[in-house]
Amino acid sequence: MATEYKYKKDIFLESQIPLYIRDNYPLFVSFVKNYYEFLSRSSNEILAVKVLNKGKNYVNPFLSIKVIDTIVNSSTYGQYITDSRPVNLIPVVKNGRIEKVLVKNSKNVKYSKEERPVVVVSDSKGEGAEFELVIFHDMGNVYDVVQDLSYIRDVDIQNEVFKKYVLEELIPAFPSNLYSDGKYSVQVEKFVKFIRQIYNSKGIEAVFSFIYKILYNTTVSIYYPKTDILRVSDGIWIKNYYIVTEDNLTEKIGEKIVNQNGVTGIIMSCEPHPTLPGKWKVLIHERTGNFSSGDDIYLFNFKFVNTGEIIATVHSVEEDPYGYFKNDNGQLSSSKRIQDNYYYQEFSYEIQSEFNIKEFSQILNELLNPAGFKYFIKIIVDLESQLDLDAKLYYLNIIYPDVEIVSGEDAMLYKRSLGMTLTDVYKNPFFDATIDVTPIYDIFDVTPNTNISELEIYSTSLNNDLLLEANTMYGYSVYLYKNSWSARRTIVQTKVSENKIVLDSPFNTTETSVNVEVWPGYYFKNIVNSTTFELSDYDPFSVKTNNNNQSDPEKRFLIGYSLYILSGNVAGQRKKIVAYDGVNRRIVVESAFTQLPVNCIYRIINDLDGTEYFGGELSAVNVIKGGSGFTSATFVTDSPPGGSAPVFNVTISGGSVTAINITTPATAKYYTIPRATLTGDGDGVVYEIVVDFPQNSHLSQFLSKNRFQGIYFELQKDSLGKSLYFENARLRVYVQNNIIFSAIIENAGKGYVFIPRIYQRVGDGTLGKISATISSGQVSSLTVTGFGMDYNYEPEFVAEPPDPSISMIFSDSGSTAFMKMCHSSERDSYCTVLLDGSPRPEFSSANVNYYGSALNINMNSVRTYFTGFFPIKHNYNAEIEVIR
Amino acid sequence: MKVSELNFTEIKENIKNYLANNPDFTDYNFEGSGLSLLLDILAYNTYYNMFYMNMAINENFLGTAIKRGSLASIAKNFGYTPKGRTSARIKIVIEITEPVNSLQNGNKIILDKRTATFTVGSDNQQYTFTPVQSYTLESKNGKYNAEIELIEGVWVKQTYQAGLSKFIIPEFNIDLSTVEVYEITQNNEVMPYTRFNNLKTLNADSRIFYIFETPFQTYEILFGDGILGKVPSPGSTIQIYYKTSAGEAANGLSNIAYSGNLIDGRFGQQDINYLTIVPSYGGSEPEPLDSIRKNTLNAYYAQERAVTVNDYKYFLEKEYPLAQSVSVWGGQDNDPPIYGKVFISIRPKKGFTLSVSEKQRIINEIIKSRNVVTVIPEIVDPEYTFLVLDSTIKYDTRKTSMDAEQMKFSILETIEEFANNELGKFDTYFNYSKFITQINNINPAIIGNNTFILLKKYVTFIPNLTNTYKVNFKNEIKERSFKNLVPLKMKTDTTINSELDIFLEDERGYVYAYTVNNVGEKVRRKVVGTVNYNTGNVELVMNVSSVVGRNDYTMSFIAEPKAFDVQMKYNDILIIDPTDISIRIVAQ
Repeated sequence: MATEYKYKKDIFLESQIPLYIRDNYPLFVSFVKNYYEFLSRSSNEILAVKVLNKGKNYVNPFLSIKVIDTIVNSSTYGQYITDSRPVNLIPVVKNGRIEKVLVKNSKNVKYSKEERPVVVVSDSKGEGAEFELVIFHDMGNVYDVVQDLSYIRDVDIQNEVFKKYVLEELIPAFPSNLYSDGKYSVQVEKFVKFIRQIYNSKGIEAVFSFIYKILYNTTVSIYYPKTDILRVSDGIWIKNYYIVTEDNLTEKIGEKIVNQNGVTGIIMSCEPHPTLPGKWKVLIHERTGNFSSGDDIYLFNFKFVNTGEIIATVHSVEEDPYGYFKNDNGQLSSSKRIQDNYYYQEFSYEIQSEFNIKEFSQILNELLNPAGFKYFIKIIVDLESQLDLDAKLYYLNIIYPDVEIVSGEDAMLYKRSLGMTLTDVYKNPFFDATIDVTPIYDIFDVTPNTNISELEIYSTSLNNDLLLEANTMYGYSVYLYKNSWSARRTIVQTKVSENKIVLDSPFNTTETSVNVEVWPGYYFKNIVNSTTFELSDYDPFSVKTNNNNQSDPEKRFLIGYSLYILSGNVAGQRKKIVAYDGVNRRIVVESAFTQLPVNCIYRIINDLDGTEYFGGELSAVNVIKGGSGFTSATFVTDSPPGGSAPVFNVTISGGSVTAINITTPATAKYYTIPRATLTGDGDGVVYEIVVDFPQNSHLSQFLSKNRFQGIYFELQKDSLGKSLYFENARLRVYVQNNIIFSAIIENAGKGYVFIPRIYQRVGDGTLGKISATISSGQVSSLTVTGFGMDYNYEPEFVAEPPDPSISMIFSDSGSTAFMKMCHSSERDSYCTVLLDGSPRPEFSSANVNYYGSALNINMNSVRTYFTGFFPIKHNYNAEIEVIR
Repeated sequence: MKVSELNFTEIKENIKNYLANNPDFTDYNFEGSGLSLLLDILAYNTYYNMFYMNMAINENFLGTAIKRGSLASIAKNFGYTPKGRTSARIKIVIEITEPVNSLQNGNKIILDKRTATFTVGSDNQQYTFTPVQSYTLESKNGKYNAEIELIEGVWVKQTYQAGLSKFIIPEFNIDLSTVEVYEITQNNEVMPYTRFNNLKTLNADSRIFYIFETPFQTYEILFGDGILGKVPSPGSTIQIYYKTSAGEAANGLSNIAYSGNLIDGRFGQQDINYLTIVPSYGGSEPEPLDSIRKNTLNAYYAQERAVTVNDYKYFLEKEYPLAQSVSVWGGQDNDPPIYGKVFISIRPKKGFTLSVSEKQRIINEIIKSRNVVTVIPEIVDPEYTFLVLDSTIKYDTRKTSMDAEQMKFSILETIEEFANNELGKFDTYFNYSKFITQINNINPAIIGNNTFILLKKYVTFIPNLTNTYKVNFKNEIKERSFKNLVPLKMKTDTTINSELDIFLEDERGYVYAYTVNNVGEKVRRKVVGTVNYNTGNVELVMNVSSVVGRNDYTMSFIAEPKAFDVQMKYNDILIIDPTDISIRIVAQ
């Protein structure tokens, strides 16, 4: 469908000249007319396309320019002559409507006044669009110049050259680097329209965000270092708060309670009241309000509703001068910083962005930064990675021991961002401390009737380093043990030199000879629902990196860990952790526990130490009991992933199975003990299948790092003997009699695994179709499958680029897998590929089929990388760059 | 459209060629007188039209408009009113005497701001001044006296009936700061209106007026529309008072005489004595076109808020007309950094520094209402560094009729012009080659120019007290170039005799005090300070009793800059004092 708009300005010259002159002096009339034509004839270029009507239903409109031959004497008036001059019209379509039209390459195309260019739009579905060509007269008549004034001044439709002048006038601080090759790389129009509001809102956070968004399409956040300045007045002291009841709530210690008004708190201790006989003094922590005498006390449940049994009634409320700090604010041991005269001061702020905005400093200095303030710029490297909860881990033979962790997205970037080296080990408290489910410290002989807030750890072999390590024990708990669990305190500090740990509040026990044990168990701040657990303020999952010496906010270790219940009548239940919600500090487990006691002890345990993830050889089947009644028997097992099962020979002697031997081994490794079936006419056989899983040396090396999901190879290009890189195919199309009659390959491209789609990008005709065949990764032939119609000149057809995600077929020991081509900073000499597909084969030797041709890879040239895939989107603080 | 591309001959030639292509005129002789004349007319018409269009369009843009009226119209769209003339001010002490027996302490008389007129100037040219406000003088010891400030200009009153959409002031030379507007209601209530300043307190009842410059360089006054500002009530009268100003012409005058009505109906010129404290100053001409262009955009950028350094600078330049130059820098750029502060330095048109009260007034009235609440503005005095010039100019007598004295005079004039245009302001840069070129361009006869420059600083000392003095040249200086210009006397200690003239010199980072013995040899006495050659900072610890030949407490020091290009920033100003220029003319 085509719509046209005629660009035409009639000059009614003749009617302006008196009739007698027209009659008597036709030559003079012709002379004057020629003069006016001269004024109008000056060379003109297309300045803009004004959309008069946006039309509807457009999908992929193609705009072109035609010239109407306007020579009146000729009979060709009104006929269209294709304008082959290269003016590109680029329509911007939104919701099927052509919102605006951009003009490119119009500079060198001049239209004389005799020529009437019009816009033609082709689209199989769209209709109704109308356009007017705005032609700039570089030396034309006065009338036309005046007509074009709005196209000089109106920022929406003006030429880029004039935009530059408008910006220089209204926004002199506009970054000059955003202008190159005669155009702006951002939407100047928006910026100009909003500039008054920007000036009006100088110094406001929102303006920073807005400008970053509009200039660089990135979001920023502002951090104020002053919020992390240590102030001695920041400590909040909470006095001990007791409710006095007639009920003994000793059994409820550690439980969360709620009154009828919704005020909650946690019972920390329960002791006979020293002055009120028959009453109990119950210490409450973490209360959300005040209790009053007469309040009914319930056990808190998940729905926050005070239903159920009343466990006590408040007789009175008491406080004493003892208590505890709410957090470590105001204390020297906190992570706050001493004020300095540079970063940590009242008048500094930090702009955090993932965009490197060195060039942005001009606009910061002149437009945004309030005088008297110092700003810093932090570049956040945002690595977004995948969560593949179903992914299995596989054991890999390591040809080269240089095990590094690289990112699936960009190896170099990731290494730099974390500042990791080969010897880095993250301080993950659960790795070292929770493999063995035993207390990590025992503390004996607690003296009764004393307020114990600091405990000396009794251990003759105590290693200070270990205690120091236990600084990460924030969140670990100390349990008072006497026949049963009786009380819990959270460790808030360790005193290395004194071998002491400090508790969040004292034990006050009347028991004698109690044991106090330090457990790495976890006490949740809140159980949101049966699968969601909110972490407490002391977060043991906060890991330290050597980057900026700051706590790394991401919680990648949690995935792959399980949550265990260690106490109560459901002890031993385990659920895999499947997600971490960093905003709300919650972990989510795969499914609900069958029963969820509030005061359970939970532990979060690394499950990566199981052998199920690491493949091993099925080396033997040991017969433990031979059974009886056998005359014949066969033994089969499940096949290993990606391979075939071993073949067994069963030896029978005296009606009993005496041996099961492997005659043909499995062609792949097992990751679990396989299921097996012994079929025969007897029964009673007991056997043991032996799978030799890899040695722990591998495990320890892996576990000290991260999880693994795949491997990377760097294949040396030279060893492959041919390029592995991609290149788009190019083709040329020929038109005859307004149809496409042939297409030739100009460049066959590289790296095609699938036949690319070929489509028309530019052209005035429609319905032309071309298909291709490929061979050895290249386009090998083209066929015109649709001749199309209305082609006045050669359209541009393009082939889809090769899919870089599946570029090679990888074959190893009979199993196949795809390999993903990844970016590398060393493209010239290396090609990094990611092993993909499932199951992932083991890699001990490499025979690579590259588009059918075998490539011999020298294993010594293959460098193996292990990669960690990260469970959630997270940010790393890569570096701080101060730009002034 | 580029006017330079308009070429009459080319246009005519093009018309000719175009017509020749038309079959009707192919064989015509276009050089024939009749047709040539027609083509001339048509080419002229084309040329004229294009030129006209070029001019008309240029007048529509801030960057290219050259007519003040056009600029004022564009500025109005940006909400900026160009500054008109500014009246000069003069500060005097006035004393009115009355026979003691008829005067008691505490009696009061009023010096009315409209009727108390003074004549200031010489016999040839006199200007009228009136008090900037009505002063109430209280008698004490038989006299009325007070320090008052007068402003130049004659009061003019225009009266209109309310109801017009705008009120035109048919005058060109108005000091806008003097415009006062009143509404006289039908009940004869006088309701003053104030000039619109900012939106913060604007509501439907605000009695404000707007003032804009018209394309004819007169002014128009507009009132609110009932939403943003009050509409004067129908039937009331609008009175507009303003002063017409003589601008710069009324500057630098001190002769004064009272010429108004009898004060309190009794006192005339014969009863009044005057003492001029500050001669008339601050009168200025209407804002130049370049300044309108710059300030129109600055007003747009600032949007009545002082946030960035440029905003502060704009408001100070706009609202403190007595500033010759303004410098502003954030505390984060200060040395040492003082965060949360904005430093301002102002070189006044009169004198070298501002008084403490004036600084406070500027902060309170210009800055405080606009700046970020936690940021503290501080006005610091400018620091002056003087450029000492020593030139030897050779010229060829055969190429000029000027003698050596004339040559010297015109060189001095050029240097003064250079000093006025290029220096004396903040953030200036003494470009040695530009300076030399300007001198060399004075006359083609100049064949040699050997000019040395030195930096000079004045430092006030406290006599007979050991003190630390900082002399900071703010530029790299050469070793062994620091010295005192005038010998010092130092208080006696074990190394220096107080009778001796003391000279200072530097070597390897230290400053030595030395004397000269009978045979003219230097005798170093002691180390009195240190020099940082990279920063140009000299610290002296001395007990100075006096400076030889001077009665005041000012020491002067010089040093030679390492590079002849000298740069000043923040509150440093480089100036050339004519007394520091030494020129030797060598005729060849």
